[in-house]
Amino acid sequence: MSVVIKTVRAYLKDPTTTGLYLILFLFMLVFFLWPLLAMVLASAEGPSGPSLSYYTDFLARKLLVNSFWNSLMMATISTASATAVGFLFAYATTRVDMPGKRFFRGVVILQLISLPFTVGLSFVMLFGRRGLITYGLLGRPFEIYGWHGLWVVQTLTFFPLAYLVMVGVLKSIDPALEYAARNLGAGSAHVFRDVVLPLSIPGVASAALLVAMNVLGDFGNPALIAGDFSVIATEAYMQIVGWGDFRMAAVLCNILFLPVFVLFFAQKYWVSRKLYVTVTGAPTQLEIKKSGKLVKWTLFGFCSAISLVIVLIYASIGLGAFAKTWGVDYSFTPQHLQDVTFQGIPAVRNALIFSLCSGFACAILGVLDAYIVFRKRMPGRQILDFISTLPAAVPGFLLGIGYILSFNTPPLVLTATAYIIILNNIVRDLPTGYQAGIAGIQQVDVSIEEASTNLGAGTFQTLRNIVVPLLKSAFGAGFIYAFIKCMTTVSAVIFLITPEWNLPSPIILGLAGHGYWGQAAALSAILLTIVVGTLVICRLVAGRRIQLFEV
Amino acid sequence: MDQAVYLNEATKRFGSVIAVDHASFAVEDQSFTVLLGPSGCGKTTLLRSIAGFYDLDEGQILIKGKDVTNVPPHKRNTGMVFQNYALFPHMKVFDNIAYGLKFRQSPKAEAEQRVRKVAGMLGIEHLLTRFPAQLSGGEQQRVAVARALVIEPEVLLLDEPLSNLDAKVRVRVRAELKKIQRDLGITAIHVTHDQEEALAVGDKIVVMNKGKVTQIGTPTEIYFKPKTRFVADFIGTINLLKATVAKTTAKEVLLSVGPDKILLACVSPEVVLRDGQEVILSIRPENVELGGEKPAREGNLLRGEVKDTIFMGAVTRYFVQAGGIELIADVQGSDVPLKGSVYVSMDSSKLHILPEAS
Repeated sequence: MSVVIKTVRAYLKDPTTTGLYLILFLFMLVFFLWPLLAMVLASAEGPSGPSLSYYTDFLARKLLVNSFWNSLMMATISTASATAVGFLFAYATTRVDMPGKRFFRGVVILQLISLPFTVGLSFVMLFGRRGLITYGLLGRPFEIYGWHGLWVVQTLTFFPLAYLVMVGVLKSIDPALEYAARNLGAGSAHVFRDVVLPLSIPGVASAALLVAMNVLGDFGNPALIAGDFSVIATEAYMQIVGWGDFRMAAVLCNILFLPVFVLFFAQKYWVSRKLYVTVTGAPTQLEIKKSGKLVKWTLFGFCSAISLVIVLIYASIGLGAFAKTWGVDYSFTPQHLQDVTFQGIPAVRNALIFSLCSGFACAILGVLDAYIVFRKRMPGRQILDFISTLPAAVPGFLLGIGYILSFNTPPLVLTATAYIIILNNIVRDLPTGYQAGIAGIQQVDVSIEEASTNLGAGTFQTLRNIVVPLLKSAFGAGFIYAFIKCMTTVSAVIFLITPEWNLPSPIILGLAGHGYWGQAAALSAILLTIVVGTLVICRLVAGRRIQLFEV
Repeated sequence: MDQAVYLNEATKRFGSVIAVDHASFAVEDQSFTVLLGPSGCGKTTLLRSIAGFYDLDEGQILIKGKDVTNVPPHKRNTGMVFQNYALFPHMKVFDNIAYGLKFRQSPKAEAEQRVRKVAGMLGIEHLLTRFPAQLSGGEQQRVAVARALVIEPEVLLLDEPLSNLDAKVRVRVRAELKKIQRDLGITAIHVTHDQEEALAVGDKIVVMNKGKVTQIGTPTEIYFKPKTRFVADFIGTINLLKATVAKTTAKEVLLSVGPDKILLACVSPEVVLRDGQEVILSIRPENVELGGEKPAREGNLLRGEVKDTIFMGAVTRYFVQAGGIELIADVQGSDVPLKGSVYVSMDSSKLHILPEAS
């Protein structure tokens, strides 16, 4: 009883925080939890009352069950390979004194901000039946479609994500430890095996879980390159677009949500705890020990090879945008650019509007969210933390389908409006803004806020006078991240767009699906120019004040 | 004497750990009170509870007679100086100091006047247009003090504000702090783990250990008349001797120490002793007198052997074995160190019996 009284008292004492709590909770309840719940309800409803008939139906259909196993299989092998590549990349760029590090980092950043299906698209163009390399240069028929093609594509798509996590961990391992090990007589191999590797294991695990979640939820690449190898994401799409069967789509989503949720839980509450312990030490100024020639040049060769493939990917997009007929005639033409303007320009304009709105909302909500979770020790903050992080794990198509199911009918009808797309984007990218907010808040000492309170400022005044001005750069980072993600997002919005509110990414997927490689490449090039340009401008304007992609 | 702050059975728990355990004491108005104890003793928790950053689990806090236990921190009007100063990095020194006045409806002109006045008092007028990052540690500390003083707080709370300064500056600044407190006639509560600092600035010292208040007293009381073994041990160097009460008189008591030594000690009236009781005797090293020749004083005289010597500058510290007991003695300015057999004598009024049950 006294706990209840204490809780109520804590909330009444601080109306600003309480208000923010309510707003964030309500927002996430309506636009995140409700769609998820709607999906469960839709899947468990039979012709007469609640029933599991759709689930038994699912189990009876071999193709669908296979797609589930395929998804798991693809997630397993891609996670292993992407994590391995990511680790080697991270190790090479943080702890080996090799040349070209800036270039390798640039390649990784490019992959991180790119369209989620760039690799799939260009792989079809490079290695497909009429691929530039397989058909054009080598003259050999090669079947890229299928699980092996998808595996390579997912590895190249998601290794930067693994890299990003592991670089943070590897950087935090004090080089003094390596010196200590060497001082005690350990050779390079022992230093790696006994010191660096054990300390980076939590980072590797965390990265792997993150990659697995993303592979499970990826839609664009399987749609382009999986061929007959069906995965849940493409099957769910087929159920809706091909058969109009929302309930079966919901069943597929729910079944996929289970492993994703387990991975998310493992990452958030198990691995990241262990991670935290190793990341506490302050980085020292010690220089990295010179590594052996063999290690150095092997890793350099490896990173160069991967980077070369990625350079090739973007070159093919650029080339495709201007080549007359991909696979047949590679002479220059501006035709594709002109062709996509009709459909593309309004779509790009929509994307810019939506991304600006969502970017601002995510940055503001993210910073406020991080502030009240990490600074206001109010009861219930763990729940808010949980629902602010979870959207990052929920596959986009899943939330997209959830939105159709929940906002098609009263009380809240949003279908076919711009709002539904913006809201969906805000929810999906809130974790990004939230993470940026957390990073910012952790750099501001608590006592600075306490000093403000002590001098007579309430929560609102402290927020306005102290927290917001000090978190400008965190806000900027949150905005840029969310903006870029919104510009290129595809899997969720593909279910929400209308001819009036169309977006470039789904258009590109559609064009590629119908074999209009030139136009798909042209629109991709336009979109890539915008996101890369955004990042470059941000760097030029804000310099080091806004820290983006610290890799 | 008026009470500026009164704590009544204040208790704060963090999970199963009791950080502050039923602390009760009064802080006199216009006094400089020091909360002293080792790290983790609960002194900072107590200070932060007074500021309102922690809600008590039990007990009350009264500031100027008003129960503030459930008053939020920004309504308590306590001025706090943080250990790391916590200056607002995005505001100039002037705005840092003026910040608290924003919430006290003081007109702009008056606010500026008050900021300048307090800045003048602390000798930082020339820094008003700078940012905190452009100041030295000592200057930052002054700004932090000015910021806390300008709001005319009911009580000034100092959370180890000197610990980030180097030793020489620290000694100077603590004298200044004390002077400012006295000149302005404000009440200050100062948290420190540095016993020398506590003795130097405190009008009253509250010694804490494991969340509990173990002794409250003036610096001399705390130093020479510790109530518990912990207080005796924590502050400076002290000789602690096990003794048995041999005979008690009205003012004095005869104690047997070791197998055959008898010492005479004065006792305070509050301590009740009975014959045969085991007690702990304490005496500071500077009160243990050593000499090569027999001193004039009768009684409390022992023969001892110098075992080790440390030259410490102002004094020389001797480790003396006297019969079954070991004693530390600090002797001032002995350029020719004592060696071998010495006379050890102790003034009975300086021998203190710890009231804590042995």
